[in-house]
Amino acid sequence: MNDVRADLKNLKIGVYVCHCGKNIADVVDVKRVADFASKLPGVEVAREYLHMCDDVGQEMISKDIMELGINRVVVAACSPKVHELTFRDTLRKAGLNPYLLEMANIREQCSWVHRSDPDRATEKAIDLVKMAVAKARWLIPLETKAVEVTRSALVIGGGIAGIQAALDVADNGYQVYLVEKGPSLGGRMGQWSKVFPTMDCAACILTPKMVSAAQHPKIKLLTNSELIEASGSLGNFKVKIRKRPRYVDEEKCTACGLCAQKCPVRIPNEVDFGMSSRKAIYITSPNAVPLAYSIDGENCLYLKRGICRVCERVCEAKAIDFDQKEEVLELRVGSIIVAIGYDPFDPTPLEEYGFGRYKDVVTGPMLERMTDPMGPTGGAILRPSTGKPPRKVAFIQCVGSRDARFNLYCSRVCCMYAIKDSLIIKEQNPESDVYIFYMDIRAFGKGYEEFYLRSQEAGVKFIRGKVSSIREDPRTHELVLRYEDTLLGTALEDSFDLVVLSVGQVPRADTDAISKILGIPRSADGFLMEAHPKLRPNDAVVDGIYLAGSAQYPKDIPDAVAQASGAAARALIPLSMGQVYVEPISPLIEEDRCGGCGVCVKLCPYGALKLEEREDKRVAKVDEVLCKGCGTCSAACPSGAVRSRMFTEEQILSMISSAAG
Amino acid sequence: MGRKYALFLGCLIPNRYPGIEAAARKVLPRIGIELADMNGASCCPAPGVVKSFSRPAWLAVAARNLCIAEDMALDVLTFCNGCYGTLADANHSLKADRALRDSVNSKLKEVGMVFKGSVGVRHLAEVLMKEVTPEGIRRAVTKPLGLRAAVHYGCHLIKPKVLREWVGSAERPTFLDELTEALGAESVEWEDKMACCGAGGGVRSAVLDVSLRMLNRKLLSAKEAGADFILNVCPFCHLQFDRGQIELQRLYGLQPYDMPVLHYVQALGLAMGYGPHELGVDMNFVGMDRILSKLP
Amino acid sequence: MMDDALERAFRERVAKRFGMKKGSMSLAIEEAIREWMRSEEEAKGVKEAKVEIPLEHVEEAPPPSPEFAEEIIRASGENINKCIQCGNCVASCPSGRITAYNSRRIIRKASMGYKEEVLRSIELWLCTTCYTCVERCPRKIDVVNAILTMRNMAVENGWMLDPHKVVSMNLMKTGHAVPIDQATRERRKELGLSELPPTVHQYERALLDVQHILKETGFFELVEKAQPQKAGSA
Repeated sequence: MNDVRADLKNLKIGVYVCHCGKNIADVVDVKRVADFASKLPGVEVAREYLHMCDDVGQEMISKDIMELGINRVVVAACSPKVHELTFRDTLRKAGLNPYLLEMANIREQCSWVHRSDPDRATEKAIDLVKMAVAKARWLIPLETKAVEVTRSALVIGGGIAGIQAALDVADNGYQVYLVEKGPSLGGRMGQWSKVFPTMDCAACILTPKMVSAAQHPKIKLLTNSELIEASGSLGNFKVKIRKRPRYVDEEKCTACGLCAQKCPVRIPNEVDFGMSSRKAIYITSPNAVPLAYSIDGENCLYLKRGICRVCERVCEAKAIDFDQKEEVLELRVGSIIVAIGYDPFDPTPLEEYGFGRYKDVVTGPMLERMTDPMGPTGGAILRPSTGKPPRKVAFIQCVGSRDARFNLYCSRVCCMYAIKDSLIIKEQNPESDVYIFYMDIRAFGKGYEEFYLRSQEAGVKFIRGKVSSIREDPRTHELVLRYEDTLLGTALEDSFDLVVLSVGQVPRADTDAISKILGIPRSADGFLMEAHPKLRPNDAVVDGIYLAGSAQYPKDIPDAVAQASGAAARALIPLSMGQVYVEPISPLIEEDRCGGCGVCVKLCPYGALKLEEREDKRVAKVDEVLCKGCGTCSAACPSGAVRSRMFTEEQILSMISSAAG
Repeated sequence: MGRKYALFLGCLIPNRYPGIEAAARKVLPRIGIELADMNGASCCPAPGVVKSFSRPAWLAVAARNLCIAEDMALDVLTFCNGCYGTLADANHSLKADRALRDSVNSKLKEVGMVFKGSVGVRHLAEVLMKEVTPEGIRRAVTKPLGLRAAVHYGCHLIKPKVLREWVGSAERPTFLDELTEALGAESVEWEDKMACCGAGGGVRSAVLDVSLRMLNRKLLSAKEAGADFILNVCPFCHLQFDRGQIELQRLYGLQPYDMPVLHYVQALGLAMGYGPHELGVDMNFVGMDRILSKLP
Repeated sequence: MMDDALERAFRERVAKRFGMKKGSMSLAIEEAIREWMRSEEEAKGVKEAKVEIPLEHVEEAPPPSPEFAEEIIRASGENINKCIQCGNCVASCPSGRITAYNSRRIIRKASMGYKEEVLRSIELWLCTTCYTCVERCPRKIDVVNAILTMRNMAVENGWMLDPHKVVSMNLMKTGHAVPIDQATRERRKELGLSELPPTVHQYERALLDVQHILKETGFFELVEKAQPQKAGSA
């Protein structure tokens, strides 16, 4: 680090102020900022230009580096999140160490937020540039480091997105651990009967995929399992998986079902949203993969109270094994794909619709289960109150979605599933009347508008108006809906014998837990956030972690599958590269000054520090793969031995004093 | 138990239905609610009309009323939904918005007042539910009513919900039903129970026939549900239900509903053993015979 | 006899159109006659098909003023432009169920700037302020707040319904929108209450204060300048 001071004498700083089209220049007086910067000590040249990130802008910088001998670069433009890598590359290509770059964010942190006050915005931009120049004087050349990659991936979630991602990665020849919380693969798609707009049977297209995943030599399927801990970074993650016991030997079980017949415990079946019941030993579907029963430890009489064991007695295959114990597996993987899916919105809080109070008000997913030949009604759509086919059905769209009281976003699937179910109802009972109450019909996917047309042709009535309330007529037990046909401009009332609430998708209940374990943030809507909404839709905000399916935002099956393949392709990059470059963010520890007190080791939130024995003393040592560069150690070190490479004391103090002066 | 409140009378209670005032003055102290008069208080002013004409005038007059309670260092108690709507909402706005408070105070200064934001505004139903509790009411009842009540909440008592945290649900509240059942009455389910009586928003005064058509639907469904009487907690709803029945008969030639109407304090009075005349229930337009004969 | 100037002009046109050659004139006259007959025929047809629209009606509809929505947003803090026209408010409305009152359409017209049409409509006065729509609006628009703001604007423009003027006069005169009457004085005494309630009715000084505040906030002026507007049925 001694060369730093030497360099100070020969400082040649170049300052480049970007207009960002009109984004910055409309508010900040960029010319004034550049003029000011040109007079700062050490600044050799200061320029302003329309788009510093374009070819001409970058060329301007590299020309200055080569011709004027610029050896520190300050770019005043957008957030470093957007273009720091771009400009580092510019420096590298011009033969300058890429870490001799400093960015001043005069867009997100200045022009965008101070639109109404251009004068003071310009003052602030000047301050930001002044501070960046102050820091630039103390920048030091740093090197990235190559690290070997663990060539395997973890996929969390065994729904259609997780299955697709796992198959794609495994087909490329890399080991995949596919972790599923429940006893079987299949996820939400496994609950649906027919899928839009093709109306093919979900099981017929999903089951083969489930089987391929389970039988793939490169996929290790872990059911009844969940992620409980994670550390490390891109290329080298260390994860802990808790595998709950199934209490049934998967290999021995023949899925004959005798155990479930005899099991005395009856509880609501979550697959059917409580419309049917299951036993404490159960299988989620006849198509389950692995095709083996599973004992629900929460409800099993023997596991709760030490009595019963009927299943064990009747099982001819001797598959019941109450000795199975919970296991915690430790795995090392290079990439992680998060495909934890969604939950259907619970409409109970919309009291005006009476869900939970009126038997014949059901949700879309409940109706889906009714259309399934293996569902609670054997595939027939029936009024829950009478068990008879409905004569007049209403679908209410956007329940809990596009509603600022609950979720503002559009759930993207409800228009199509309602249209699909309306067709199924018409198929089952052509005499029945079906109405869809909508605000907008969003038929944006391939074949979707055509599907919409099909239901109109089948006689389904579309009414543009949000139903305001549902009331059950105490005499007829019909459901009376109030609405305005907004296209007629008339407030109306009509009776139906079955009402379907087209509920949307919400983040799965455990999204928060997964987000915390992996350190990946959620967006305002609660779903997991992508690194860039347009250009990196498959990546989580943390490198090496990728998103697939409705964990990111509501998706239908085609979109979930497409994104899963995208996420797999992204996750394969580090695996096939074999090594990744680690940014020099980890601290530099001056062993001479380190007293071995271990304060930093205790405080490090990522477990990246440990003490190492030297001949005469112990010193702190950092694991560069685990370190996230948060700087906690550097701030805490009592002897000043831990230095953050990208935020040295000199750099920070000079920024502060330039801002204060 | 035992709390003192600044009693805000408003217009309709003292000037049209004094029976409600008389009932409150007799009954409430006996269940631990002490009342102190807000001498010189005016119209709240009415949220449907005055607030529709001039928000600044509405707010300033409301602030003056609140100042009277502030001087008494007592929370305001009202048993009119309109007064509650005005005073609670004005109090909230004035407390939350400094600029608004300053501008109102510049007007109040001239009459020697200043709004400080030191008191709260309570509707009787809230105080009965939270402080007296249905159990407390039950203990005070000596003559359970044994009647079927069509409970009418009214609008401004429970909405806008953002300013009525204590209400819980604005779609299906239950507190007034619980308080009614505590009187030994049965709260019946009736269609349009939560619908507006039709009086508010200046509609009754300006477009009577629209107002009465809304009322007619309510009365019809109360009758169909087999209610013995309509129970309310607001003198304007009370007036609409009571006088409105006569108007429906006179203006539209409808068969009389003959549906008695009681404010909660009057029903409470009856259940505590007061005579109908003491509570002014015989001063309604619609006769009470139908229920008085059924009382124990 | 044909006017000379007209004849000259006609000959010039004919020359231009048909050239200076023999027979041009008769060609032109033939075409002119045809044209005249066709136009007369057409005029007859149109006259028969046309629906008479009184001119004053066309003139009455003023062009939309885009600032109107902005004014409402500023005064109410309610961004009515957020409305997605779902009709939930209308379906929730106890008044809209029995009248032409359509809050959605009022919001739409306001948002599009139809100021006069909105502020002069009787519909604006059919809201009972029950707030049911406010609780259910998927865009969280406080519809009642928006309606009350528009009512304030209507009154400011001198449009106030007569019965509302009466209520306002009561308030200005007595401090009560509904002042005491003789029958109630008797009933109060009968019930053992003071003949006059302990409100502004009993305290003259307090009444003067209320009147002062009403004057200071411009209420007197507002009510006095209001044009007589007939209340009616909707």
